[in-house]
Amino acid sequence: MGADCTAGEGKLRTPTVAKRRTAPLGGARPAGVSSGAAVMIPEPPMTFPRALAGRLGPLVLLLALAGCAEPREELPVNTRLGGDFTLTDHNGGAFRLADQRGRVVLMFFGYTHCPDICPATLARVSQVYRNLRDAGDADRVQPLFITFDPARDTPEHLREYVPWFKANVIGLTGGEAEIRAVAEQYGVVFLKSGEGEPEYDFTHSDYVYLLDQQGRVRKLYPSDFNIDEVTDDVQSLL
Amino acid sequence: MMYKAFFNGVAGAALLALAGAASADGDLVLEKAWLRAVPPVSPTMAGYFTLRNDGDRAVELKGAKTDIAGMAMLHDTETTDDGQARMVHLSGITLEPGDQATFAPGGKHLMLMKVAEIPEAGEQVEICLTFSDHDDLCADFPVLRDAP
Ligand SMILES: [Cu+2]
Ligand SMILES: [Cu+2]
Repeated sequence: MGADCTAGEGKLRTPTVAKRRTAPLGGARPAGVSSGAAVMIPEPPMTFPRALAGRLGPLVLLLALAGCAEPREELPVNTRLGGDFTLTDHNGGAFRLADQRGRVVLMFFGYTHCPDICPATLARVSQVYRNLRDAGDADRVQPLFITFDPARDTPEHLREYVPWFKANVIGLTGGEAEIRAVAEQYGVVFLKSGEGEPEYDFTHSDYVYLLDQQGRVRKLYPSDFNIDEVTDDVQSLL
Repeated sequence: MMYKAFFNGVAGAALLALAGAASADGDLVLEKAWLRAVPPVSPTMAGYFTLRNDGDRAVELKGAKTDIAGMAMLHDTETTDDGQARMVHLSGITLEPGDQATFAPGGKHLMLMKVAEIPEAGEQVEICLTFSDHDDLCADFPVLRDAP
């Protein structure tokens, strides 16, 4: 099926997924830096999320279970991650994951003030959705975007944001505690940087979650996942 | 030196849209420039490009400016081994002769903040890169939904 499992999807993946960044995004990453790589002088990060370090132990273990299936083999069920939840959708209504039974769900956590990874990932998820729609499977697939920035990502704001991606994405928000609880269920870590400043942003995990028709976690992808691989995986669950 | 070295290239708009803007100022070559299209309600945008120093002296890229944004910065998205992404501010990037800096999705990017009106896919936005020891280098960045 041509699924490339080498980019961070190692069978028994080690805690590191750093290599995944070598996968070209949309195949368009400019060819390597010419000889004599540029000398980068990074400032210290705006904030060091030291607090994260302590919380990552369990996450790393969980990720080890979210390995890559052999082509055409059934995707393993990840029993350590996931679970039902209720949040508020971008129309202001209650959204319960359990109501998606019968649909394969692609779920991503992020925030709309993020200009780089979040819109790029949503665009890729949307492309997967459109591929599936073209294959006649639109009714059985549901992309979800869960914000961890409810202060700015209100239902009203999400209502203006998610339709732009033209992929029937449901934007989800809620109370801070509610969102934190969902993030914990799924092993998502996020930390606000620049707390109290108007231009705060987040350090966050950026995995995309594949849930089967029973709402069980079947696979995690790095945010620069291969679109065909995910499309194939979704179809294997339909 | 306050004068701007405008150099919008000879390529037509169609070619620019396909290949990304190319701009040069003798010693500096700016290529693959583009801005990621985002929903109109977004307050921020990210821009990408490659910048090569074909000159014979080092230059330091310090930042950028554009009329559409209240603030523009050089950022990097760092991804840790645990899959945590975070953005950090780069105060400057030194390019020795022959060096190239690559700003690409998931990594270094031009961060435009306080964007009053988000341009649509298909539009062009002029952005000037600023240096500590070199004239500004300006180019039209096409707004694209996906990496070119
Ligand atoms: Cu982000
Ligand atoms: Cu940034």
